[in-house]
Amino acid sequence: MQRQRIKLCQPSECNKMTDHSLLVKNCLKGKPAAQKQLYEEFAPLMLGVCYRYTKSLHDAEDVLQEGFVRVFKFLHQYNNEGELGGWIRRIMVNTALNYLKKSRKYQYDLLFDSTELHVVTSDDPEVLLHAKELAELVRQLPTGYQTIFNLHAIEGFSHVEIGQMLGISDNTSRSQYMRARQLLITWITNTTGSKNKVYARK
Amino acid sequence: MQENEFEKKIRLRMDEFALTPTDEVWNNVAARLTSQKKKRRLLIYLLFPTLLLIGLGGWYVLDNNKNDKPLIVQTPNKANKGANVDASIDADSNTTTKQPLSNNNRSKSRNNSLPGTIIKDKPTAGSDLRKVTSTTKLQPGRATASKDVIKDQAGLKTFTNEQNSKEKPSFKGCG
Repeated sequence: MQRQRIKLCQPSECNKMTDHSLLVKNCLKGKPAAQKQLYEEFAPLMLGVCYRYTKSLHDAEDVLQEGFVRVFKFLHQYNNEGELGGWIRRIMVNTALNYLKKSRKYQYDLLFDSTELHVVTSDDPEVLLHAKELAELVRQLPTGYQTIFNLHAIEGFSHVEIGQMLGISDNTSRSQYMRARQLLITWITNTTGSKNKVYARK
Repeated sequence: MQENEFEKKIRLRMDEFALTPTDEVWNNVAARLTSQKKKRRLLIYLLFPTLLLIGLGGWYVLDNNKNDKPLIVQTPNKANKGANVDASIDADSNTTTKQPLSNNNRSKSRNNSLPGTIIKDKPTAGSDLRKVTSTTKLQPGRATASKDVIKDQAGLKTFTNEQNSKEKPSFKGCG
């Protein structure tokens, strides 16, 4: 699986990049207007990322806040080569992982004991759900599954990378991902069939 | 691959997923940014005088060390050549101790030697370090013509070898 989508620079995107580099320069100068502009441009998407990793909107906003403080702190390290959105997203993901590790609420669910491998499922259901509905289903997964599913399926990290990030073996990551995937597919199928079903999971 | 298809669909859906955060989030972020700025400014204001103080302190210490260096005065070698060294061997520990020899010391060392000892004193420079004091034990049967006066270490009892020879008991009459 490829890590991140590498987009070719189209004219509109190149303009965006120059806009972003100017925005970054102004932020580095400490201009509050530029800082707010950067925040307003990326905050909604980043809150979506944070929301997928947490169990409540309040926690997601906590992560977003901490993430943006780190973004402005390390903005001098951003070299204008990559996409600014991707760079900020990476910071958000790392902040979310740190939050999960530190927070007592999530610590217990982040224990990965099982190392047994699971059969790869070949199901490929139609994903007719909206983004919000899909995100809600992902959030209903147990925290460990949820984290690994987000990291592998959506961010595109390999199991080896996930193992290093979470301090687990790549086999454990693979196993947990398969379970999460199977569970999610079942839920998606059921939801598509009867949207009235309610899934109550932590 | 089927696995990739499912993940692709999920990713496409998730890419467009966005939520609007409350104003409180930005207010908190802005507040933390200004506090960080203040901290940075304070650090810069404190850093300059601290570095200046350290620099001045270092310069002062180095300057003092230069002034405190002892003056080395070379004395003529002749003065050193004349110096005598007296050595005495400690009888118990067999260690040799060196002492600068002045006339007073020399006389003292002679006076401190045990009574009944004869000091072989060689004045040669080389033998100064290995002066050996030899003792002659006086035996009653070996009385010589000369009167040897023997004192015990406390110096209380005195007797001569002649007396020793006279006090010898004779067994001729008893037989």
